[in-house]
Amino acid sequence: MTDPNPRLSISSDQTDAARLVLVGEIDAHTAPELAGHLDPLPGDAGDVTLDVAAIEFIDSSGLRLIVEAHHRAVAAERRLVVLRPSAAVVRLLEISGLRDHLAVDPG
Amino acid sequence: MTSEEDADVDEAADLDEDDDADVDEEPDAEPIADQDAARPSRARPARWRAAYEPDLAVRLAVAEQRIELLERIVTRERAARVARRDLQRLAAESVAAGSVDEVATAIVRGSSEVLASPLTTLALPEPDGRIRFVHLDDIPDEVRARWDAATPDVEVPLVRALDADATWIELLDHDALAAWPALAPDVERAGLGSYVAVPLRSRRSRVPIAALGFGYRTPTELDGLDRALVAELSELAGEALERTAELQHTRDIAETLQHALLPRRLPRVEGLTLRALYRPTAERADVGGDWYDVIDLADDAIGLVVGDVAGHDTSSAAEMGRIRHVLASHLLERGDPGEALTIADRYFAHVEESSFATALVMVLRPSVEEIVLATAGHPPPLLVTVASEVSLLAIDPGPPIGSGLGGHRSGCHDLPAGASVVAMTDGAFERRGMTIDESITELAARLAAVPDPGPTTLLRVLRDHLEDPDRSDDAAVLIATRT
Repeated sequence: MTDPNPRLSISSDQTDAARLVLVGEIDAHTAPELAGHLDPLPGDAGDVTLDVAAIEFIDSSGLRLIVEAHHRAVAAERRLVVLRPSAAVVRLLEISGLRDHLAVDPG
Repeated sequence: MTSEEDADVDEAADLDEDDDADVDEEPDAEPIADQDAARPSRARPARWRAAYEPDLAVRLAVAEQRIELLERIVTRERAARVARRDLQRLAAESVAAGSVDEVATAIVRGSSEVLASPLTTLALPEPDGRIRFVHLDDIPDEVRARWDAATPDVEVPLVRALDADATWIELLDHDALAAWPALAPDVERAGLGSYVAVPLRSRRSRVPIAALGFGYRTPTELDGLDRALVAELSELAGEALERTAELQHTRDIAETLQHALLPRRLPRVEGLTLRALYRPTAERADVGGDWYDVIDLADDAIGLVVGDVAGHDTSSAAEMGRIRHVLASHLLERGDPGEALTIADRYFAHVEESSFATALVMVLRPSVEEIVLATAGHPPPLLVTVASEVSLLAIDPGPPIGSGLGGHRSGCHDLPAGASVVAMTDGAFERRGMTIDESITELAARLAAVPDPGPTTLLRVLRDHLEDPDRSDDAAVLIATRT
C-alpha cells in the first residue's frame, strides 16, 4: 500500500491500521492523495496516529488535512496523534498556533 | 553502385583534369531534360552516359528520378519528423506555458518548413467574430495589412476553410487561382502560383477551430506524401490549438477572478505609505488563494490583512474571496485583530462549505507609534527600521481560520517613525530544502542589506526575491511604512 508518488509516500503500519507513516513532502500537489487516507479515518477505534518523522516539507495544505482529521477524530470520540514530528512539522505547528490544540507525541 | 559513381564524379571534378576535359566541352552537360535545375550537383556528365546503350540511359534516367524522389521523401520525412516532434512538444508544453499566439506561430513556422511553402498563414477566428491571421515573420507589411483587413465574409480560400463544412481547397494552377478574384493581389504581387487552404479541426469539434493556408510561387501539385503530411499536420495543429485555447481560457478566468478578489487600489492614508504585491504561481494555469487587504477602520485606524487559502485552484480563489470579506467586515465591526480572527474562524468552521486559511491581521494608526496584530496560523511580519535592522515581530500564534479552535489574541509592538512592517504569505520566502526559519532568515538578511529601506525599495527587493525559480508558490506581500 505504498503511494506511487515519490514526493509523498503513505503507508499503513502492519500491526496498527490506524497508524499512517508519511515520508516526503505535503503540499497542494500531494495533499489530495493524503486526504483520501484520512477521510474516512483509518482504523475503527482508538488513536489515529500520523508518523511524520520523515516529513521534510509541509505547508498550509497539510495543516488543513491535519486539522480536518483532528475534527473527525474528535467527532468519533477518537484522538489524532501527531507522532515524532520532524523539525519542519514542529515549526509549522508552532507558527500556526496548533501545537497546543493537537496531541503531539515526540515518540 | 549508382551513388558511388555519383560521388566519384562530384569529388573528381576539380582533381582529375583529364576526365573532366570532355565534360566541359559537352554543350548539353545537363543530362536529363527534366532534371531539377536546383540540384546541379546531381547532374551526371553526358559523356559518362553516352558510352552506354540507349535503353540503359533510359533506365538510368528512371533510376535517377527514383533516387531524387527518394531523396525528396527522405529529406521531407526528416523535416516532417522534426515538425511532428516540435508540434508534439508544443502540445505538451502548452499545458504549462504556451499562449495561443505562441502555438499559432510555431504551427506556421513548422508547417512552412515541412511543406516547403514560403507563403504560410494561419487563420484564427476571434470571439468577436473577426479573424486573426498569423504569418511567417518575413511577410511584407502591405501583405500583412491586407490580410488583417479581411472580414469573415471575404471570398478567400483561407477564410472559407473556416466554414463549418469546409474541406481542403486546392488551387494548383493559375486557372484555379483565377476563380477566386479576391486572391488577385496575392497572385500578382506575391507571385502566387498555387495555394491550398486546409481546415483545422480537433477531435471534438466539427467546426474548424483554425485554417492553415500554404502557397507556392510556382504551381505545385500535391502528391501522396504531401497529402499525408498536411493531414497529419492539420490534426496535430488542431489538437495543440484547442488544448492551448482551453488552458488560456481557464487562465484568463482565473486571473480575472483573482484580480477581482484583490483590492483594486490601496487607500491613501496620511502618515502611512502602503505597498502591495501579488505574484501568481509559476504554473500559469494555477490560481492561488493568497490575498492582501487594506480596510479603513473607525477612529483613523487602518486594518491590514495578508492571508493564504490552502490549495491552488479556482475554488481556493473563490474561498479566498469569501474569507477576505468576512474577515474585513468583522475587523471593521470589532476593530481588534484577535477578535475578528476568532469570529471568522468560528464562522468558517461551522458553515456547511468549510474553508481553511491562515491570516495575519494588523491594525495601526498613523498618529500612534504602535501596531496591534494577531495571527491565525500565519507567519508573523518582519519589522524593518530606518537603521535597516530587521526582526520578526513575536506574537502569540492563533490557529488557522476554519479550524474552529479559536483563542486568537492580539499583541502590541512599537512602530517608530520611518519603520516598515512587511507582511507576507509563505510563498514570499519559503523554499524547498530550507526550513521556515532558514528561509525567513534569508529574506531578512536581504532586507537588512538595503541601505535606505523605504517602502518602494523594500518592495523592489521582495520582487527580486520572488524571481527565484525555487519559489514557485503564489505570494502576497503588504508593506506599511510610517512616514
